[in-house]
Amino acid sequence: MSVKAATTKGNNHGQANMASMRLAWLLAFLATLILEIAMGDGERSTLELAAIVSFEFGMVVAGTVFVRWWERRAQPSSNQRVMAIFVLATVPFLLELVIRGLTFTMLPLELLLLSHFRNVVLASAVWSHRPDGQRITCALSMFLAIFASALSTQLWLQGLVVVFAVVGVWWLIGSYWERLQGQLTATSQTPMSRSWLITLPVCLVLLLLALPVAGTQTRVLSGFLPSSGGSEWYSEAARSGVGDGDQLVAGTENIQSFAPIEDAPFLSSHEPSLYDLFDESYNEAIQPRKSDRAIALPPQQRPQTPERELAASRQADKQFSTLRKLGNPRQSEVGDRDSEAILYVKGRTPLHLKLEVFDRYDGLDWFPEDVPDHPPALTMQSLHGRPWVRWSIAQSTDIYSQPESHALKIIRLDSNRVPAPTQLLGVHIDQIDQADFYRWAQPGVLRLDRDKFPSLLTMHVQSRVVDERRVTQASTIFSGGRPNYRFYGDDAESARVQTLAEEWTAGVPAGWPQIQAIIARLRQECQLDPLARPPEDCQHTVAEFLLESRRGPDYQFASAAVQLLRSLGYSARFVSGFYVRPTRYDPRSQHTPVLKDDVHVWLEVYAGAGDWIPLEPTPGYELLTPPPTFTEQLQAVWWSCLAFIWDQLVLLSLTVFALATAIWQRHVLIDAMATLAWRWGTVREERDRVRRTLKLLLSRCRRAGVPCPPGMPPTRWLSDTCQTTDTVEQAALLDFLRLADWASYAPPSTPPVKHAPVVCADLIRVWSLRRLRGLQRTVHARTTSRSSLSHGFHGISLPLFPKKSPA
Amino acid sequence: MSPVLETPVIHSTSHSALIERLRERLNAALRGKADVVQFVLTCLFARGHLLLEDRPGLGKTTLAKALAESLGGRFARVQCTPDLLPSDITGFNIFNQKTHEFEFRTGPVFSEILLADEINRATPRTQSALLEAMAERQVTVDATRYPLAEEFFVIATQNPHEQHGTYPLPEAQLDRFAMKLSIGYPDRDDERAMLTDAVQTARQSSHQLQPLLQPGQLAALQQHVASLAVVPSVQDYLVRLAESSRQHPEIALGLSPRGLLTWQRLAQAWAFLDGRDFVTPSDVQDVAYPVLSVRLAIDRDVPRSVIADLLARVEVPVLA
Repeated sequence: MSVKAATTKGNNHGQANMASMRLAWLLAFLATLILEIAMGDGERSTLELAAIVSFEFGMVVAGTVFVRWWERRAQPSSNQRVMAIFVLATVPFLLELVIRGLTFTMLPLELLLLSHFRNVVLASAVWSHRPDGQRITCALSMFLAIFASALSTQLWLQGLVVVFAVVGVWWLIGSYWERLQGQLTATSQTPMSRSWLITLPVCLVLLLLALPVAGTQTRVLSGFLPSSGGSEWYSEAARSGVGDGDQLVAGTENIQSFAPIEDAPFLSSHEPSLYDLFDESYNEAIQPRKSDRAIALPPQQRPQTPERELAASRQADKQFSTLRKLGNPRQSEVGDRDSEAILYVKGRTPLHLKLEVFDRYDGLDWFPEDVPDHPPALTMQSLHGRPWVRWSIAQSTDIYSQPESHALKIIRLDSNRVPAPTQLLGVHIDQIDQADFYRWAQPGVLRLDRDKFPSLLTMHVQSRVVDERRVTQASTIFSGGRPNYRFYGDDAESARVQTLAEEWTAGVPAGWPQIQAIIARLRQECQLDPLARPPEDCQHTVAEFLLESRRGPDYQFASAAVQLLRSLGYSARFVSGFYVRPTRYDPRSQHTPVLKDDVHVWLEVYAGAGDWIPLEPTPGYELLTPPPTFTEQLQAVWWSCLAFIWDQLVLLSLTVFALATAIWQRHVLIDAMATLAWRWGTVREERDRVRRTLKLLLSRCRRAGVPCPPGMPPTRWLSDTCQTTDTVEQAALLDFLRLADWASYAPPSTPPVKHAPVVCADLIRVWSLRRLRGLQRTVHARTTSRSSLSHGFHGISLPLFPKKSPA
Repeated sequence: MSPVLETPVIHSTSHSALIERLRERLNAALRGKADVVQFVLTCLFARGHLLLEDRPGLGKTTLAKALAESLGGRFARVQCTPDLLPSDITGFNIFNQKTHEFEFRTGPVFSEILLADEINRATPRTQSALLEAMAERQVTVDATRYPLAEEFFVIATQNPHEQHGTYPLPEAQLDRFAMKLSIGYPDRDDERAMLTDAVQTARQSSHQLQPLLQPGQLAALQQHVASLAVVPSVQDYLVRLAESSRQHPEIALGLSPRGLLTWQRLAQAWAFLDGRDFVTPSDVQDVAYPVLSVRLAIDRDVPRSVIADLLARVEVPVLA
């Protein structure tokens, strides 16, 4: 399509064209700005936005300069223009692939499509000195602006849309006025080609047919937006959702619908309580039938029991039974989703989150510890402008590493207890700046002074980790502690356990080595079996576990460890809570979800001076180690690199070998590809074929190390370079050189001397890269003596000008 | 419409056979100098004049005579000396006692092939008279204009500059020559063959060689050569070469437009001799040295390397 200005009004038209080109640029700029603001969605700073938009417009200016230069050099056909725009438009998709491959972030589909549109708008703005380029720019920017403005609700975005509308109307008026004045007269109009007439309806029909077949699977249509992530499906790239996505959207960016954020409204919810979770994982406790030995209680005591039980269940103070039902754990009523996070943890893992501590054990059940009489007083401290609740901590032995923080995003935990690491130092919940909002639930366990957490609550906990090396060095005295931590039964079963403990620690010095020996033996001798259960008539589960089955779930390990340690005189307690598995870490959101399967039980041992050291007796579970120092990190990276290399040795060496070969033989590879392209390329006429063949041969010469100098006619260079005694080779070359001269310099009407395809094919076959490389040495010798003016004709090589004889 | 299609005679076998025979004849006369013969033929078909710069006895006259015999035209020879007058070349009017009228006695320029030997020994006045005849292809004596032969072809020889008693040709006059060549001494083998030949021809009875061309055929061929196609890219190449010669630091006087025209014509003739209907950059380069060495004022005494450098500087049009 070409539109020419009427000659009489050429100058006038030039000015009008300039004006409408500026309008088109302005529209494109506004649309791009609107899109970038919508894409940023409040997360981008003004400076960032300015940088992005000015980069994009810098590209447009650079593209305009390039296109002017291109049009001066050669007139690009409309096909080339469309191709150029198409290439620019596909760039976002390729970039997205690369970004997805390299990092774990991705753009939602609608933003990807919009950025595709943006590139088309910018690319056609490059061509906006032509009227058709202007129109495409304006029409597409209008679409872009309208669609992008629907994505965000920012106030000044709406202002921009209004500005855009004003400019757009102005452009429409101008373009209409131009039409009316008849300044533009279309001189030729490309009729729609027939292939389009067929292709378009076929595409439409296919689309219509696809709709019912795809049905509900057509994700593009199911949500409000292409990747909204609602209605029982989800997109990993969704940035905001409608309805019920089956995974929570990670709270790294602005979350609009459903995620734990600091200022989330305190809503009431129907999430399962903590003890429902334990029962779902471990099955319910077996209620011993004690009706035959029931004793009637005095009436004044009777109401207390249900009342206490009720209160206990509300406050989650219930004894922990180690004797539970067999069978597959009951699925919860909301279990129709793939993964349900109870909470998310941001920070280092593995992490033990303590919810409840137990001290007394009667052979079957563990009983929760009471709130101490004089718990440490809670005070509020401001740290970086945020309120943290803290308490006085006894001056303890120096066995800890540096404090570190974790963020906990609580989704559906029906409890008021702060799930916190063992050595808790402080807790921060946004906006809560009154210390009396927190209470001690148990020693070392905080709770909120309300029935349960609000939904979607984010809290930060600060804690420190016991450094095992320091424990060894500090010669910690594992003594003291309240008697209920050392409470140990005096029945026969307990005696047998004690014998076992003494047997395991025979010859081991008391203190930390003995504790380690017990844990190590437990991890070594017993097997984790979440489905193993003691017989229902079992009276002492620890003895049964240690002496009979040696198989059981994690709570049996913890019970056994506590009992073993207590039998040796150490203070220990039984702890339940969550285990944050490092394997669940989601690098994309940088969070580790905690699911209901992650309830876990472990123990703590008293190290004196108020220090409790967590211990992990269950195989497969690990304690959090102190954060590695810089050198340790370097070492770890180094070793993991070595390990990777060692693991992938065969593959890596093959790859390196292949790469090295490819680099070494790059000329051969490139030549093979060029030859393939030459072979598969289509040509319209003989001349093109000969020219392409000449091009290929010259590139072969270049790769063979004998490039044709610019001042040398290529045919001359080839006849000089490719000297041979082989008649086949010579014939192939001479025939081709004639053709090459014809294709390059003969007037268009001259017919070829010989059948071009055969000659070209012969030449490419005979004068391969390998053959040309063989010439390299002889040619170098000749070129140094500069023989450009000597030549051969009729097969004889003659020196043109004899040297003057010395006078 | 291409000029090639207008001319009915393209390279038919008769044409190439004719040229081959011409070449053979000249090669037989001048042994071992096929390249010189090729240039002489190029110059002939390009309708240019030839300047041979060489020492005496190297076969200049032999070459000219053989050419004249082959072409079937008249052959004349002028031995230039300092006392040679212009009229000795052009001819003069003489009073006829019988008719009581002046009649014109034609000079040696009224021939098809003129050998002007040692042209730089003639005085500048005589030189310019000859050069005018070469350029205009006519002589004017006493206000009467006498046209010369259509195929008029001058082979001038000159001694190398350093010799005594010479009047070097000025650049303006050198420009009238299409090319400058030097024949040079033959190889040892060729000289031996030459000696053997001399003995053999003495034994045989002397015979006159038959001309190879019909009258007017040379002119037709010259016209055909002038119409051979030169595509725009090659013409652009020629123009860039000329520009480059004018900007080259070692060339004092660049190529004149007349020189450029001559160059194109010589390239056409070279292509014709190679059996092609179109000119390639190779043709342009092949004739570059003899064309440029006659008309470029080159500072250094090694024109060959300067011309090679000039050619190397200008990019050849590849894949026009």
